[in-house]
Amino acid sequence: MIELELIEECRKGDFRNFRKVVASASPFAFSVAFRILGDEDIAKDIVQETMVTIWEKIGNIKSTEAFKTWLYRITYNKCCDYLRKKKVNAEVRADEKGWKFISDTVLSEHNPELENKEIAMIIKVLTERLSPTQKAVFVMCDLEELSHEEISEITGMSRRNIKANLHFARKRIGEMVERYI
Amino acid sequence: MKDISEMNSESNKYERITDILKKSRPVLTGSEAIEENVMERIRVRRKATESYNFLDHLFGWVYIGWVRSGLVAASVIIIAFFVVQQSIILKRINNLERQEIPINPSFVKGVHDVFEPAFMLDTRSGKFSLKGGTLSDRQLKLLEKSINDLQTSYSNLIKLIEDNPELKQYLENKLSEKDKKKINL
Repeated sequence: MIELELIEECRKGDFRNFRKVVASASPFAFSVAFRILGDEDIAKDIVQETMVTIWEKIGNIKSTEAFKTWLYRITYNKCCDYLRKKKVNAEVRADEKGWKFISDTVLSEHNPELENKEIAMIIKVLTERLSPTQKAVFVMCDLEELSHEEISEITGMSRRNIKANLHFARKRIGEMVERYI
Repeated sequence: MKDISEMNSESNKYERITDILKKSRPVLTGSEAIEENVMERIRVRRKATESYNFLDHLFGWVYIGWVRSGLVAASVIIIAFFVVQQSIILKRINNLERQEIPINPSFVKGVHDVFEPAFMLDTRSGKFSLKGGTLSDRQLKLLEKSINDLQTSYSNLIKLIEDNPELKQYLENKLSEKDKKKINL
C-alpha cells in the first residue's frame, strides 16, 4: 500500500522518505506499464521515469488522495509516448503456440500462477488487434479494476469514449477467444 | 472452482481469462536496483537544478524584459556614438593635413625642396633649427650662394640709397613714421 503520510511529506517539500514512496508506488506503476507494453525491461524504465517525474511534480498534486490516480496517469502517458515512438503493436503477431497456451491455461482446473513472461504473452495475444488506447482501457478497467471515472481522469477521455473503447476491446477479445479456444 | 463445462460460452471464457490475469499481477523483480537508479537520477537532476539556480541567481536579470530591451538600446547608442566620433576624428585629421601652418613672419606651405631634411620648425620659438640631421654639399653650396646673393643685393640696395639723397630722406621719413605708429599702438 502507498502510505499517504509519506506522500503528504513529499508534497510539502520533505523528500527524506522519498525512497519509501518509490518502493511502495513502483509495483503499481510497473503493473500498468508491463500489462500495456508487455516488456519487463521497458516497463522498468517507464517506472524509473515515472518516479523521477513524481519527484519533480509531486508539489503540484491537489490532494494526497489523488496520488494513485496521478501515478497511473503519469505511467499511462509515458507508455503512450513509448508506443507512439516505437509502434510496438504493429509488429506483434499471435501464433498457434500462444493460443494453445491460453487455451490450456483457461481450461485448467486450478488457478495457475503465471510468470511475467506468460502474462505478457497472453496479453499480447489477446490484444494484438486492439489500438493502444483500447488496450490501455482494457488493462486499466478489466485487469487493474479501476472505475470508469478513474480511467477518465488518467487518460483524459470522456466516459462515453471509455465505454466505447472498452466495448470494442471486449468484443474483439471475445471473438478471438471464441475462435481459438 | 468453476466447472470446465461451464466455460463453453464466450463470456465465461472471457471472464475466466481476465480473472486469471487479474490474480496474476506482474512481479517487479530488482526493485532495490530501481530505487537506487531513481535516487541517483534524482541526485543528478538536483545537482543540475542547483547549479542552474546559482547561475540563474547571478545572471537571471538579463532575462527581465525591460532590462534586456534597455541593454539593446544602450548598445545601439554606444555603437552609434562610436561611429560618429570616429567620423569626426577622421574629418579633423583630413582638415589638419590640408591646413597651412603660419610661421613668423612668412608662410611655409608643404615642404621646401632644399631645407626639408635639415630644418625642422620649432613651433614654440618660431625659429628653424637643425635637428639630428646633416647638410649635404649641394645644400651647403645652395645656402652659401643664397646668402652671398642676399648680401650682394643688400650692398647694392645700400649703395643705391647712399647715392640718392632724396630716396634716403624719403626712406628715413617713412621709417620714422612707422616707428611712431608702433609707439601709438
